[in-house]
Amino acid sequence: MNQESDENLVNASTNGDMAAFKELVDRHEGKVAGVVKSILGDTTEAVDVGQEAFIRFYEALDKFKGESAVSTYLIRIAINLSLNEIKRRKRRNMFFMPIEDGHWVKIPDENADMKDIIHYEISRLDIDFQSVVTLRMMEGYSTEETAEILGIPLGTVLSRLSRAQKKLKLVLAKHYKA
Amino acid sequence: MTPQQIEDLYIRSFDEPMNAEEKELLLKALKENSGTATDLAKYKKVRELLLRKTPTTFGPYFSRKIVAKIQNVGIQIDRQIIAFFKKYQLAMVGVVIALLALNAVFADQLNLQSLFGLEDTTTQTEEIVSFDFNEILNTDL
Repeated sequence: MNQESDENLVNASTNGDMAAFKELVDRHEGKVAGVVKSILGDTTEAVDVGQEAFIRFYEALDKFKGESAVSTYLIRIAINLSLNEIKRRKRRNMFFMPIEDGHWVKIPDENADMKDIIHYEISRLDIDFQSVVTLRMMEGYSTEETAEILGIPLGTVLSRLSRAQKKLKLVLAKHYKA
Repeated sequence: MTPQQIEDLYIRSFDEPMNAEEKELLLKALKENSGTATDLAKYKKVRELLLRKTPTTFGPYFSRKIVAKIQNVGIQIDRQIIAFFKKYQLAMVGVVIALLALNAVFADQLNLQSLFGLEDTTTQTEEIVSFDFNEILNTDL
């Protein structure tokens, strides 16, 4: 069966064809979910952010000129909304709980495995670093794709990746020494 | 190569293609510094642990929920209205240009009163105020 191109589906959606838009959502849900859940965890907020990302995309269909792929455009919206949610969460928890409680990952105890510890440490990274690590190291986008999605130069992606990894290695070394 | 340089090159090798010379340099450095190689292997392990291996979703009926939400909040209606008027936007621009042209042509022939069929009161006001003071003064004297 011939699959409609994203471009055709976008055109049909722009003219109010909701079946076409539903097809776009089905097609790109996985990628958006991967990024949002990597940042916000498997939470209800992640689902809300996912919905909001697609609704924003729908609202902006008229402005979508196809310069970038639909997935790139959607991931850009999703990552911005997720990072806004992180900021909001940190602000909300600032006065009521210790800052660690604002993160989606549970503070790892002595029985935690390495994966949990790495996830926790990533959630503590600066937002700029978190987005690069999420796209490149967790979701497997190429460095070029990561730069395009985030709208930053390739060199910035590489330097942020390098600094984030060194930071992660340091905290892991500290954790395993303790 | 210093351990710092080896580390930088090793990290870069994950994200950027290296040329043959750099590859050879890195391999040689790792062979010669087995301690550094073991230490750097942790980077590889971290990356392997982090990379998502299984696809994820937002749960069942996600797309249906989105469509329902869009239809409920009226975005769909807005879009249909926009799509409807989009068909006529060129015709509307033509009408606006025609009206502007008409306005320019008849600018000195039309006024608001005549457009609404009102009586022009300008002459009457002039008649009321235009009387000769000297004439009145002379008759009094």
